[in-house]
Amino acid sequence: MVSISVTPFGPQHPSLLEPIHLKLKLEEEKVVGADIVIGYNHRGLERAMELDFKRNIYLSERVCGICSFHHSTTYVQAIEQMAGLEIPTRAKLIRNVMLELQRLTSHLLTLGHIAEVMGYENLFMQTWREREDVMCLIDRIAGNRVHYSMNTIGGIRKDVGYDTTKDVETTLDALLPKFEEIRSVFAKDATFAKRTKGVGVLSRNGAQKYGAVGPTARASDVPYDVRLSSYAGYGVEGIKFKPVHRDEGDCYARTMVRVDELFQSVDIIQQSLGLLRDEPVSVPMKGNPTGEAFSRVEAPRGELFYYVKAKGAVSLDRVKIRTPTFVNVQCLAEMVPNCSLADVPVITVSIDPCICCTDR
Amino acid sequence: MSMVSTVLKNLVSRPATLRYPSVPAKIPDSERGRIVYDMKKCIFCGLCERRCPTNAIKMDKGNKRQMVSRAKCIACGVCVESCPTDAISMRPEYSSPATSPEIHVYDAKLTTHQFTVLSLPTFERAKPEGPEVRAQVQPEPTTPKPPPEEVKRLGLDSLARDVMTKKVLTLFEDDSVRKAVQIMVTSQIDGLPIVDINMKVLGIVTGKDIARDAGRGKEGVLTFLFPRNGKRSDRVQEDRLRKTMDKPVYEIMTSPAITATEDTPLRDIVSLMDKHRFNRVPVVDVNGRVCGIITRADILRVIALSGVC
Repeated sequence: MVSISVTPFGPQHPSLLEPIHLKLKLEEEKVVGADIVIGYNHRGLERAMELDFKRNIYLSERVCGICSFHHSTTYVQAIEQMAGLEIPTRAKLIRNVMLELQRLTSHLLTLGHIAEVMGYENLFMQTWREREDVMCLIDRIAGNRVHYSMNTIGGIRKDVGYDTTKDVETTLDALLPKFEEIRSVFAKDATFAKRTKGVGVLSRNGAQKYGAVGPTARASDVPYDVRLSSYAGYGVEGIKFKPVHRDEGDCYARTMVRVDELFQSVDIIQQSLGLLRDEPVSVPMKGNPTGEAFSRVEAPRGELFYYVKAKGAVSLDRVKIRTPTFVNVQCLAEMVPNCSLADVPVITVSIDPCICCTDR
Repeated sequence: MSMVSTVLKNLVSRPATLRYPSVPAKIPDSERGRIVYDMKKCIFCGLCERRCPTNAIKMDKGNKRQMVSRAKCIACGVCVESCPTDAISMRPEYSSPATSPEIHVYDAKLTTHQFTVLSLPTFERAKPEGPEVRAQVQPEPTTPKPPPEEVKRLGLDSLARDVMTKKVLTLFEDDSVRKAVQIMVTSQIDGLPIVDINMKVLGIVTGKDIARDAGRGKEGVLTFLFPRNGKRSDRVQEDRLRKTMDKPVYEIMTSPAITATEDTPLRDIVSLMDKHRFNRVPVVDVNGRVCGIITRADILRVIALSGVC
């Protein structure tokens, strides 16, 4: 009879970038269960968002640093919906480009992080080197590497010029062969396969039971992608894409879904740039919002959800944010049992937890 | 391509990183670094102050100055867009590190794009450094002066600078009374000097001021202390208290405050406090900024240390 011991994993742990606490129940080396504790990073942003609906455009970006544009897009979409604004196609397509560029940076960050947690530092450095090119490109377009401040209620604040779109095209053309290299390493490397294949399996039923979203769900054969609901520019005539999905449900599948989404993102950006026509990029908004609205966006980690209730004044009644990690982190309870203690960091990182978003 | 060939390729290629700061960083022209004012164009309409999402800009129309708090500014560029005369522009640069929150003061008297740096005191640093004009492009390095280390025997002839509490907690004039109460309760003090953005003392708020304002009604001060029985009366009291809490402190502060300089002997301060029935006297330096405070507790400490009793 082996006794069960409880070992803490986090909130401070070398493999974690942000505080999350797992109480692991161990039978010797084998994990038999886990309790998940979140809330170490709470900053009261939902309450701060009730103060002024215009300042929220900039505040919502600060919920998270690696999906800032997704957050501000979700927020302004909710306000636009209340005000009944139809934003110009050019603004929609520019939003598309920025959303997908940020997905590139976020996925490259995660891929590097997974490699680093396994101790594969070469791969980590290689992915982050390519990420830097995307970050510099964003810096040239938006004027900042992290907080773009490009969104406004009714469109985009500043139009992007011809030089910029040309710059995006040339940079992405140069990046594609580098992404191919990364894909071949992730797909063929024996070390990587040994650490990830069959580890942390989330079955299709499990993913549906916990309501998993994003790459975590798509790796478990749930082809669910909010982009299919045609927000921003994804519904514009001429943009075609199919959600990437795999059916293994293990860490390897989750990683490979992200690798394949790199190419999908580049493809969507190229399609969007080809459809740009000369027209204004914003429509003015008059008065204060009234009523209530919700809006959804496919952030790099999955479905991001904002609910906004307004009262016809500058201040709002309620802003509710549900982030993708909030649901994905619960899937860990399904993934970690029957794996060894040494695999827990890889499994945790493979769902790409963003605690900063989750605790708000 | 396998990892081995990538590693070999990286071995012979040049590093992907730059040796910043010895090599200048590649900052694109569109980078949002920090905002600069052209005060010749500024018409003091106040749009930038009102539109700023983080309240980083403060306008001083009387002295023809614009003050930008660098720690609050998020460089979003809303002020640049809203300015009707294009007086504000964005500079691409990385911000240099600072030891305390800085305020950039743009004055109509200075030349275009030049500014004065005003360092706000942190809680640890009681004495703010004097205003220092520096060129816009290359800031001059400043060397901190070591504090003089002398042990002085304390007595009634000691100077205010030796006796005063240097960690003085202050509030700005437009902070709420609620904030004052929070600070008083958490720091266990009874009064706070109120300062303007230049750290000049405008007045003092004490527990008495707050109680007087909250209790002031038709029946006078006593209603606060001895409320009448009955639910309606309680509700009125609560409303009055809430209203007081939401007021800015300048509405209830005792003003003007009597201050002492650093060189005032303790004897004079004691007689001042005795005459006016004060409990605390803020101490200001030669530039008129608050640098300390002398309370009754400080005087008791002097008495205990000097061996008078």
